[in-house]
Amino acid sequence: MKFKGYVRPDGQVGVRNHIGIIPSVFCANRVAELIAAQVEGAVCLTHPVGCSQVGEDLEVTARTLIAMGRHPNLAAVLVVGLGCERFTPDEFVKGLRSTLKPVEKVVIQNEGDSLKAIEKGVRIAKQWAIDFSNREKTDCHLKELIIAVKCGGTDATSGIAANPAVGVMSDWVVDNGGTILFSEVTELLGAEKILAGRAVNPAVAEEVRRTIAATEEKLRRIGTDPRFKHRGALISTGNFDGGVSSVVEKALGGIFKSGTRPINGVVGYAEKPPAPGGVYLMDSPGHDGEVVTGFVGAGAQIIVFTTGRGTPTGFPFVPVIKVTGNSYTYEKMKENIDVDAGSIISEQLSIESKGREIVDSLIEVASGKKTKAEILGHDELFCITRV
Amino acid sequence: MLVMNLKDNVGVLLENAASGDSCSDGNRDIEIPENIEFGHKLALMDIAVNEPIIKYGQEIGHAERAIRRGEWVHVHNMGCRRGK
Repeated sequence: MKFKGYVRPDGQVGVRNHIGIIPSVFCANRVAELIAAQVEGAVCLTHPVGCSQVGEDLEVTARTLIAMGRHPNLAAVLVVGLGCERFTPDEFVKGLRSTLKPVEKVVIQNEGDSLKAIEKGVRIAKQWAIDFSNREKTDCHLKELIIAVKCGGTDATSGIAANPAVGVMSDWVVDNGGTILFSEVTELLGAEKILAGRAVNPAVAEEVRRTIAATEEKLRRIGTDPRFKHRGALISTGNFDGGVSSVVEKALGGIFKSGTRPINGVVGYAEKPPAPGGVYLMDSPGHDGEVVTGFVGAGAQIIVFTTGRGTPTGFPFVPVIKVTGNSYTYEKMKENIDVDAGSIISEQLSIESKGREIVDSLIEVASGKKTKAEILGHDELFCITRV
Repeated sequence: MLVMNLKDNVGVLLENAASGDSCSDGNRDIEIPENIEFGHKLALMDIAVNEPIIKYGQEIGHAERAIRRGEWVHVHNMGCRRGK
């Protein structure tokens, strides 16, 4: 089986063909927004960072912004800078050069003012939009796909229907040469024994255990102040209302979505796996936006997102396929959810057949079919993690 | 009701249950003494204080008080030491 994708000059394959308008610093957000608003197919990635940061925190921001620009779902990138920021527009542009895709920068302080910067940016992006409008898609092998799996708004159906069905899809992707990324390390506490057991070798098993233990230790350090004890729960009120009683219960239901194939390694936040194929754990906390942004930085072209309670969120240039295991939620939120896996519960449909349905949906979306989040313009999930 | 693993001592309700309803664990009926919502757990057997709550064949927490067979199992009677 193949899908129709966009082969980029560096050989990476995209499933979308957007123009990225990316501020190097939050001060350039408004200019970037207004440039993107003028040009069809342009997406804007506003964020609150890029200056007054130090050390690892600044490095993670820089690495993540560069990774956004390098992503194959973007045909070209316009960097919008202010001019005095710590993460410089030049450093940003330099980080994108080896992709060989068109990259330009507009720096507000160099142009004179924000209006002049907007005008220049619109002219550049508009020309790209014309140039790329007839770019053809080609048949691409499934090994080009990096698919990330995530849950948000979990309820008890996530662990018994949606996540196991997505797990069938994950196994299928890996068996066809593709890559599966999973993360949400704050929500893996209690699942380390099972996950370490899936590692390809003892060194990876140790890395899996160490990654989860480090997150648990960090949570313990920041959560010990008795004044904030009432905010100490790692899982949300919606999870509790949905019947999930502990973080371990959530973890054990959550890991189904990564399937059953061996875990090849652990990658850092927004870092690409070293080789195509297999399953990788990305080290990131569980915040929906932070983890999805990390996945996109690691090269995920599509996100498969399970939700029991129902969430409408999307990412600016990466399709997010929503799957629910709760048919009540699907009925309520049909406009936001792509696949109803609730029939596993209500009609005793097999997990295997629902998994195949998710595979079909994945291939359609990879070939260009839009998700509900894309159609409605949902783009909330771009959110860079802080250290 | 769904039991995820043979080792489990809780099951998951696949529809809302009202006080006085019953469901089967495959062998015997379980009387349900309180209203329990779809997706929530009930005890398949009596569980003593501090005994583990088992779902997916793994410990997901412990009983913070004695729980009777058929009772709702959730944050009011179950604790978890992880992630604190």
